[in-house]
Amino acid sequence: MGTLWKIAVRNTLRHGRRTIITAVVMMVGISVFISFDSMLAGLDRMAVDNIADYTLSSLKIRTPAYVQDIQSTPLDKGLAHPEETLAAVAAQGLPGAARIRFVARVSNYTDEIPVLADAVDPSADARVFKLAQSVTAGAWLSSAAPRSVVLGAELARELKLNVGDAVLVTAQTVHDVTNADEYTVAGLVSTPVPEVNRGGFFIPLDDARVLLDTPPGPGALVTEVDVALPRASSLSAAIVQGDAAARRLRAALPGEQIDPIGSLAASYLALRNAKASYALIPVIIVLIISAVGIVNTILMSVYSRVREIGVLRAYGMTSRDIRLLFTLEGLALGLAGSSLGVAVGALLDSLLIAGGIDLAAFSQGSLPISGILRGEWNPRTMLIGFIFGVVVSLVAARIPARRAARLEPTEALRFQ
Amino acid sequence: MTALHLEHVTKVYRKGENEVRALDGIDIDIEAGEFLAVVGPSGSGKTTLLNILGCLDAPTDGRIVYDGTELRGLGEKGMSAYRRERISFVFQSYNLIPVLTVRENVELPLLIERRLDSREIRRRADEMIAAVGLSGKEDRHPRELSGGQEQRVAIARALVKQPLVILADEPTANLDSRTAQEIVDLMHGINAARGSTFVFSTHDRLVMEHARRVVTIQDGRVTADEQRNPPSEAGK
Ligand SMILES: Nc1ncnc2c1ncn2[C@@H]1O[C@H](COP(=O)(O)OP(=O)(O)O)[C@@H](O)[C@H]1O
Ligand SMILES: [Mg+2]
Repeated sequence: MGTLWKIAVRNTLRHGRRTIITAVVMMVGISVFISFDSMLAGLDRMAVDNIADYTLSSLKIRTPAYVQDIQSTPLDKGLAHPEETLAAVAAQGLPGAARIRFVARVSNYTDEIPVLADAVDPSADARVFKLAQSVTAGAWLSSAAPRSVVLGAELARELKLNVGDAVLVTAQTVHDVTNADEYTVAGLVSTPVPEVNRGGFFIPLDDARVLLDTPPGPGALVTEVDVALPRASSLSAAIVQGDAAARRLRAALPGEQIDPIGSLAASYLALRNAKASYALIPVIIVLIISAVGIVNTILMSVYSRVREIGVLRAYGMTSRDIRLLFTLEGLALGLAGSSLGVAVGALLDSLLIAGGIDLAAFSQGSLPISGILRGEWNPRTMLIGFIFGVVVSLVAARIPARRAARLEPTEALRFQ
Repeated sequence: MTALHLEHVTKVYRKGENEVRALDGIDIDIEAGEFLAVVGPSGSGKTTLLNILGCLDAPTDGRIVYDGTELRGLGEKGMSAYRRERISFVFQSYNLIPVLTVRENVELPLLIERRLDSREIRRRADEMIAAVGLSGKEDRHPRELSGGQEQRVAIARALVKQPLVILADEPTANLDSRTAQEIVDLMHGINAARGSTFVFSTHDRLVMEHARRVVTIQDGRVTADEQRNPPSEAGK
């Protein structure tokens, strides 16, 4: 085995150009696979971070009845004891914010646009979401400036509204009566989530309760409590962390429905698997090309060494030894190509992580997210790519190796 | 002691309708320590005979007794094992493994045999390299050697495992006559000094003259089998 390995490796090195071409094709396949996966993971990461920061938060507490009926954004299925819920969240050392979601129509007295409005606690909300940091004109809501609202920048543009303008908001009260009131635009938000920019509408809880005709004070209407969790090192770590926090909160709040980011972003994450398999297609094509390259390289090696095979047989190597010899050549090629592939893949990963790609340069707002896409380290994918490359080489090497093993020693020795 | 005993050995190659009788009833006894030349025109069956002696090929008919045991119906594995332990080859075109050094080439039969530890293997290889006069070239590669030197390495490779017989099919056909002479002298010297049994084929008259026994075959039959007194031995 040692001798066979020595001969195999030296032959691989001797036919430098053939080896390099084959190994490079393999390298391209594996490194594309790795960096593609890194990019996809980064994209997911970004999407899920955006969901946590701008739309849904990291963890939501609602009543089971509310979630059941979520399509109609019911106002009669709020949390029974919102203060206790917030206290339970605070007891875990986590920031939490109460919100009411309701359907509203926003008007500049000429045009009207329906929105899903969020009534927020201005200061608590700023500790859970990053909306306050995304204000591009004017200011975020504050208790010092009542009867103010904040709009997504796109929405404001569509309604030709600016900071300081008056806006008419219409909604159904808890008694199912239409009510309307006038507010001042305090600020505009521009986030990496186009959905928020196009439809975001934020109003202080106190003002919303007046509009919805629901009493203030202890036990006042809250449809959900949103919780922020510390930033995790990876997407999967974020999901694990969310699940753990959900378990702890369920113990403290047995009656409520608690959904961590893993469930909140479930539909998005399901989409990702479909995406990931498309990404594999070019990689599989490249690896098939390199498999053909390996078959060819080793076949050439077999044909250029027929008499050598005869000598080894004459000195007592069995046909199995010969098969092993050329399989080892395939393995040597596979190890070379896969190692190069992982090395280049890691290099591309590090470029993607350090530099990132500005998505704005690629699409004019057609992607559901924007900002700088950064890759993620993916040691598991590197391992998979490496093993895959080696296995492909071993399988490819079987064809020429079997041909070499079938040569009769006398025929091989007569070969010129 | 009889190293190889051949009785009515016949080899027939079939090519569709055609039948080639490469060997047609060969009877010979080869004693241990012999220095035997098989001569005859091209196509007479020399290579076929050596292949059968070397357990690379099985006869169609007849029997061979190797060192007192008859090998029959051994199958590929058994024949490989027998070759591994008892038979060595020297080829017309040297056939060294190009990626291995001189020493590694000489070590190869012992590495395939897997009987000795690596230190002993190396010791024996270096001893054989010295015996063929190539000390100092252990770490060279075959491409750095002349044809004559390559064939010396091949002879060292054949000798390293102390085989029952060393089979050399036209070992000098690729060499100029002076180098051919040197190679035959070397083989002869080893035969005399170590008692190794050599069977070689040739159609070179000069080489033939060094043999102590010359078996002539024609159309697969032995037509002459003569003992000689080679000139190099006359003086001894
Ligand atoms: N594998 C084979 N198939 C068919 N015929 C063969 C084969 N090997 C040798 N022969 C034939 O057998 C005869 C003897 O060949 P060979 O032993 O090579 O002769 P030599 O070595 O004396 O030149 C020749 O007629 C040759 O064509
Ligand atoms: Mg011949």
